[in-house]
Amino acid sequence: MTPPSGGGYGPFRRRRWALALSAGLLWLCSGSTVEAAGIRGRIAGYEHLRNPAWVAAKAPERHGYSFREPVTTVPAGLRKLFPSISKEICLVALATEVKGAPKPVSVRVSGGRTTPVTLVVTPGTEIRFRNADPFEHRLYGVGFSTFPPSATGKGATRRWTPQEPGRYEIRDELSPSLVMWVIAEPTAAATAFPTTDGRFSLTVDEPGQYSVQAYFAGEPVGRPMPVVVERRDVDISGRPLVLATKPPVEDNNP
Amino acid sequence: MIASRFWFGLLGLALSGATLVLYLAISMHDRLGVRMVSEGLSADSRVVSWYLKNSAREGAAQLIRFAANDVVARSLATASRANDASEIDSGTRRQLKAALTKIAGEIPKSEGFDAVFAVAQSGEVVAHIGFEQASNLPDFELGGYPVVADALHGYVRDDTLLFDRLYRVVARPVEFEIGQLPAGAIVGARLVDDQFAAEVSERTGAAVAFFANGRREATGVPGGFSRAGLDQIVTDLPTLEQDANYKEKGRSDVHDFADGLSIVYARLPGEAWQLGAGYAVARQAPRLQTMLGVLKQADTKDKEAVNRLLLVALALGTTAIGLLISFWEYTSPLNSFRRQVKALSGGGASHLSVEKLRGPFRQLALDVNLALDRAPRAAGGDDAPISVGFEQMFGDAAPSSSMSAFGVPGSGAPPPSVNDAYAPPTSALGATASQANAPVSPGTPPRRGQRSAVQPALDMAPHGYAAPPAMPAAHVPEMASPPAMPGSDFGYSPAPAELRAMETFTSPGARDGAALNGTDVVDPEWTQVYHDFVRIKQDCGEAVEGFTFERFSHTLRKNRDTLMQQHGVHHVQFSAYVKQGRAALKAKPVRE
Repeated sequence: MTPPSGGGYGPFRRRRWALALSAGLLWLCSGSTVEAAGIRGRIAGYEHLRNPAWVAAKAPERHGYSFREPVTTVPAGLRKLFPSISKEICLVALATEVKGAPKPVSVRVSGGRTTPVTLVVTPGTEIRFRNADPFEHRLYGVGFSTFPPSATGKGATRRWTPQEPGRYEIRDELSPSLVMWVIAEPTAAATAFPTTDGRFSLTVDEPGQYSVQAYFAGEPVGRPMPVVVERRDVDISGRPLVLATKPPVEDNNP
Repeated sequence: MIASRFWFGLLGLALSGATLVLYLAISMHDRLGVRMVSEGLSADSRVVSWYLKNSAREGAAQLIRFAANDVVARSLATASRANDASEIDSGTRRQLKAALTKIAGEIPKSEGFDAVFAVAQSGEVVAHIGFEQASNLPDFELGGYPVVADALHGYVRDDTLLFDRLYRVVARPVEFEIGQLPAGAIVGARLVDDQFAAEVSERTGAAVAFFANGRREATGVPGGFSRAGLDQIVTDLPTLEQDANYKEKGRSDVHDFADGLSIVYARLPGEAWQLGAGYAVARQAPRLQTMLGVLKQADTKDKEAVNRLLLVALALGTTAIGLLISFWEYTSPLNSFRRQVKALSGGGASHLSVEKLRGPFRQLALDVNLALDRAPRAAGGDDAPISVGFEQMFGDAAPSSSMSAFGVPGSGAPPPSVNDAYAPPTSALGATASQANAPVSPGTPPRRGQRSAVQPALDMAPHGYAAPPAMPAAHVPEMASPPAMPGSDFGYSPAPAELRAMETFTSPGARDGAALNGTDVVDPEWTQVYHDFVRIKQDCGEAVEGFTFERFSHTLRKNRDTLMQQHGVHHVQFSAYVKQGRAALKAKPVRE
């Protein structure tokens, strides 16, 4: 944007200096925004993960079906109940210090699950459950009393804030397959959800040292990856986060 | 009489036995009915389960039409490339919905779906038909349900989902490229409503009701079955919490209701299993309860199974036996009696032949003969034959309080009652000593039909005259009653000697001869007794014409001698008295 120097433009030269000064002041005042940087990366090995709700549902003793048969034109290697990673895997950048509560997070409730399924937030973050189904849901917390069963009608929103660090499991009385995990992590600086091909992008507000961790089904999966963020984006795609290296035992029983 | 009574008793026993058998049969029928209903309900429940499974398989087969459609597969492949539902362009959605509508229209209605969903690999619903409640929800998805997730991962299966209502769902993958992950899934849903329940009922023959969330969702019953009965499941559903079989195996025990309705509950497969949704099959136990129930519930086949020939034969046989007994006991004696009466009225006979009659007619004949004998004497004819009964001979012999009195023949008094006439001879001629000595209450008539000793004598008399066999005098003491204590009841029974005196009266010649017998000793008291007796007869309105003292004294003498000989006394005291409005005599042996 800076025009080339030199040339006799008289009053235009002074005006240019004024614009440059204003731009410099604006940059100084909004220093934090300018310091925000992205962490780009990708995940691997997610095909070895298995959605626990689906795996449980296929068990014959659960009486979840009267018949369940594989379609042989689909390769056997693909007939695995791996998760929909864009909804079920949560990537979080963990800072070295406790972070303040960010903006409220919206969770969509629809189709027998929540989106996202696993969510990592800092304690005190308000979570807004929005019912996107044309019928009622009755979400409740398993093992804790701050989120009792309550009906959420079509299009309605229910709010809940985890105040203490920990792992919270949320279910629906009207939809047994629906299960969600909320991890209240004080050091969570940023969260992101991968695309269908496993790529993700985390945005941290401040430069510093972070640890990128993937969460699945309420638990951390794979090893955390340390990342040092300076004043520009960091791309760690070359070293993907490996979530799992081998298929689970459940695959013996398709 | 005896045979007919025995026959009536036999019929009563047979009727009682038949009632017993009927009650047992009703009880056994009802018990077997309940057991059969239990077994039938278990079978119904399984049949419905099989039907649901088979129906789901047929639905999965119908879904191939969608999955194999190129537009559907291409559209889903396009939609699955989007990272978010908002990125799916509306043109793809419209195209996909049109394809779904077209294919759904080609499926026979009985095998079709109420709603069809095309789901992208991410779980988003790209297009759907028949589920209008989600029309304005662009981010509506189904990917979290295990049935859809399975389809997106290469499986075909069914499920029962509880949205706003209960749905039977089947899903299968949609493949765009062979050897790749499915482009999406196609999901077909049947709403579990009354129409669905009616189809289930029609195909299985079971009365079925689907329930969820503690309320009845749909009902289907075969013809003749009351739908209202299945409404009772709403109040019964809470009890399933205590049914271990229902909770563990998914099928309850038989639940019996008061009106004979029995129900078995079963859980629906799928997510609905965990939500307590299921179905109930019901049967009405065929209970007879009462004997009329047998007639009410018997159908044409039951009626055809009845051996009518046997029933008719039984009815005719029992009727014939009854008629036979009736003929033998009533009609035949009546006819004999009628014939004799006819002969009597026609002049063919002067008296009825008692020996030819049976039962009550014999008694009637005796009475008639007595009446015939007395009628001419009542008219005043001395020459008329005298039918002498015991009472006529001794007056009131029945009372045991004193010695019998004797009547005087030819008095023209009204005939004594049959009972009075028969009782004394019973003890006099044919009865055993104990019978002869048995005290008889005053005025107590002897049992009707009791065959007395004098009766044969009367029977043998060709004209009804009493003609008792002459008995040797030596037999008299054996047959006589023991003497009574002075002043007490004598317990007197007439002796053959007395009957011989009666014999004297039956022959006019002998009667006259006896009256003229100068050697007879007349007790001076007898004149007074005679006057008393005549006076009493007149007071009682009885005729006294021809009743002479000679005849009176002759009779008294005969009886006095007999009594003296029997009791070893030297004097017998007679007295006249009134008995039942008639004059009678009483004799009392005096020992001193």
